[in-house]
Amino acid sequence: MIKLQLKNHKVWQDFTEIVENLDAKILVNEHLELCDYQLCGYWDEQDKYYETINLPRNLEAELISSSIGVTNQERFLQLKFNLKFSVVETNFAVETTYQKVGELILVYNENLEFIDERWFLDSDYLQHL
Amino acid sequence: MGDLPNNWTDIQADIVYISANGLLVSFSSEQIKLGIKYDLNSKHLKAIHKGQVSARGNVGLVASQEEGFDLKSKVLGKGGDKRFHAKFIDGVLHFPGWVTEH
Repeated sequence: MIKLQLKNHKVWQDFTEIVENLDAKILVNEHLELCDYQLCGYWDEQDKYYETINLPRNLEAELISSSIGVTNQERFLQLKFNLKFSVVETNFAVETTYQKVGELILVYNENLEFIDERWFLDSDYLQHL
Repeated sequence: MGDLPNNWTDIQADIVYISANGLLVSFSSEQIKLGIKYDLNSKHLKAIHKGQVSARGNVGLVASQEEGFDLKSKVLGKGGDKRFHAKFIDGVLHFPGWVTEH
């Protein structure tokens, strides 16, 4: 059996290079535009079903992790984002705070074509809809 | 040909059902077992009833990227970590029991 020297393996260098050259922000913004900031069908943690959820247009996505997956049929790239939007408070001084919406995972194939998505919306956010 | 039930436990293997949007569907016994195991509240059946939808932001049936498969059921939110893949055989969308995580 060949023992892999994983820590120093070239795979890390290659993956870092892929992620550095990838504009995750463009991908997630394209996704939000294409679904028109709307989810048609969503189950929350309490198994409550939402027919339509309209997301705020000023939604901001921040990449929190990226990974490559390998099956016996394909290789794929998975990007995980934090979703939040800004709330401007004008009580005393103009101040911008952020409200967290949830998380979104996007899955792409080797040609960077969209394959799938997974949404996790925070219950705090859903309560205010 | 009966209406597609709303619960996995009411489905019989290899019987052709008609979904709410008029699609003909059938399931292998393996698929029914997977449905009972992973889809306790039959959310994927709701997605199948809904029929084909565009790939982004929707619960329903979307294109499968798996070789030899046409469509997969997609759930968003809780239960959205599994996809059930299906292929058209003589006009019937058959779910043989292939489950993936995207």
